[in-house]
Amino acid sequence: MHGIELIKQTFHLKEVPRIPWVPFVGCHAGSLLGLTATEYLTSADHIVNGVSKAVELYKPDGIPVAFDLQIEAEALGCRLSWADDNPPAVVSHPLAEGVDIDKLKIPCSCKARIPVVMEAARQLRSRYPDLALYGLVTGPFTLALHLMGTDIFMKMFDDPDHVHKVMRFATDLAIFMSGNYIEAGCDVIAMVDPMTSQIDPASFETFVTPYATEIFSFIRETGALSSFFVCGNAKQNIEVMCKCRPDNISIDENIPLGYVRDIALAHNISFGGNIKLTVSLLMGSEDDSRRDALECMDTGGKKGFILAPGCDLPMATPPENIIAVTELVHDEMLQGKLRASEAPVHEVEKIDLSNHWSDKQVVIDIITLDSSSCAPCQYMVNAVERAAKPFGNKVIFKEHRIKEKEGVQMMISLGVQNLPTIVIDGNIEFISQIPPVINIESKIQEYINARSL
Amino acid sequence: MPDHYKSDFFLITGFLGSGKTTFLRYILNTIGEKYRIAIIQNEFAPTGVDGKELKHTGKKFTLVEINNGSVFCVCQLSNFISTMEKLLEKYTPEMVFLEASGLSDPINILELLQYGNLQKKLNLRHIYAIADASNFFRSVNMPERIRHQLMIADTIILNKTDLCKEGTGKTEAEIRKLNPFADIIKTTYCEAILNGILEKRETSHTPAERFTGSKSAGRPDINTCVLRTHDKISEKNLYAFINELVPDSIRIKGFVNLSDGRTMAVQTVFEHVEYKEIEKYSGPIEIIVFSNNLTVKDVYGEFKKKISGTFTF
Repeated sequence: MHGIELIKQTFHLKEVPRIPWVPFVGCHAGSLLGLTATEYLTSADHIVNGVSKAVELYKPDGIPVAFDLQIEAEALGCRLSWADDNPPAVVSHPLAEGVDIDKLKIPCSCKARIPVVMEAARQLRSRYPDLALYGLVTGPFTLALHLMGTDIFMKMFDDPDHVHKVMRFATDLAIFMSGNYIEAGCDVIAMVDPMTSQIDPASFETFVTPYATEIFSFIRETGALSSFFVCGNAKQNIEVMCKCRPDNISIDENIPLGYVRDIALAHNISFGGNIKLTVSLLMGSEDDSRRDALECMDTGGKKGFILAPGCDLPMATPPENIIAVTELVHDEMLQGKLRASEAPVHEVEKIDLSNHWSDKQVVIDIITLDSSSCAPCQYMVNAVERAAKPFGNKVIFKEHRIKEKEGVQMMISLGVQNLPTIVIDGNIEFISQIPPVINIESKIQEYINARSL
Repeated sequence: MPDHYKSDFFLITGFLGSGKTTFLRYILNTIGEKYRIAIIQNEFAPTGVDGKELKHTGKKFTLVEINNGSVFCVCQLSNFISTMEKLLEKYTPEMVFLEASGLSDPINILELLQYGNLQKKLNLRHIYAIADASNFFRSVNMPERIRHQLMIADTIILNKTDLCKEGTGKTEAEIRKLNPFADIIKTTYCEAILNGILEKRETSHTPAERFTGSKSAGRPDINTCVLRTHDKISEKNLYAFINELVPDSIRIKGFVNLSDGRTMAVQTVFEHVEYKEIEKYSGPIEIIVFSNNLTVKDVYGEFKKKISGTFTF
């Protein structure tokens, strides 16, 4: 059975002979060609060559054209900060800088990098008839964040009408981009909305549900398949995500796969994920990657499950680790052998934190995947930065990226289980959800008062 | 660069379905062996349907597509200039034909060719506008841009005259009102007599010069939608699918892979529908639909309905 058929059957909850495998190859493909993320993500030819290389190495059943949640924001005038080893980050938020929402228009398909990704999609479509091609569109809530910055969390309380207006626009844009990808020949439209993991189910139902439902309904009416990608700890929102009626939901390692499986299948929705991006694929060994993938496969099963990494593969992920997963997917015997063997136990060395705390300062640790490549992480770090500013040197904050060993050690040492998380003086205060800046400020004030700083 | 190194430049305009690609095919078949020819095809939608059609002539020529917007519009200006400069440098064509989108507004063609180094490298030889005699009054009632195509032409090829039962007198009179300067050639299947024109060196383009300084209109209100898929459809369901779209379409064109392995070229202009079986086509199904109201949702939704088996003919 071809990859596209496996994926279609899985989306339709039919039992399949083999679990389909969709490596989320974004700018990682640039590293396969020896290019920087910037070079890679700005050229249709590079994207086509990079994805082709990934197809050759990783033998996927489906693959994204590109994984870059800044394409729409850039076309709307958000400034980007480009990096060599990450997709670009949005660094200006037009609606927070005086641009009127009524002045924003759906851009032309010729604007910024929209034609680059669409051209890549068309070429890949012609080149790979048997592969499920994923077109990734920025989810409306994440786009709203790009447009408004972290003001959105406050505005959800203060000025909900304004947030709805921005969501309306972001939804129209997501539908426009979905249509463009479908016209380019994509089979699956993945609406990637990681920022929705940062809000509670009630806010989700108010500010996301009506819009996401409309986007999935549009995709369904074209006959294409849809997926709702989220990352971060969206555990509380899995149920409401399913109610938006996508064909599939895809999650990262922050949420137990079994939990997602039960809720998704109860809603007749397929699901996917959640190989650990950093601990297994980026920093682990081939064996770690295989074992993690096998655990996902055994939990997911052959009905309704798509094996995938939790999110966009970090650029520096060793190809051997992804190839190890590929071999496992295609080799049932290897799966059996691995099941029967015992996994080596890895003990992460904890960090001695005795010198980490200060008598004169409140210490804030933010545990992230990497604020330069993960939107929720970026906006959480932004929020802390803004909240800490008025307190001057009474507060010190530091980001710990679990893309690095130190970050993983810090995460374990502080007892943090989800990303991103804000820890103040060793106490876990905000898990995954980005609070309004004012709430972080008052929390910091409590610490300052308690310690009479 | 001395003048004789300039490439000759020809603009071909005309409303959707008037016969621009057919005209180019005729040119390639007539003089394709004699000159080094480069063709630029420009479309608002991202599709290579016209290019694929030309490649089926089997003639040697260089083809460049500029999609996602009209070359006459500011948004594609830099793309057009750099594409053109690269094309001229790499292939040194003797003749360059620009096939404009049927929805484009070429009113500023003379200015367009002044940008960058283009004026040193290109010699505008002739502007053709092709008009579909059988649908003339329907198309001139479209937005102003469509009339601009006729107003700037050196020669207007009044095509499909065989389909005009009542003669072309009224049409010609209307054309004269829009452009009293152009030569009018009446043809069927765009088989215009080229010899005279292609060899003639124009020194002025009176019709276009009347509009120096005018700005090209932007994106048209007409929807374009591309269906691109590796799915296949039965011949019967293809007919049913196209019939479903025709009442709401101005133009449909493209290639469709049938379930039995054959490939069908589809062409519609308003309610006129043509199918032709073609050989050696290797791409996915690709058709473009121009209409006032059909969207991606309608076209894909209808197609999926026809291939999913829920439809019975």
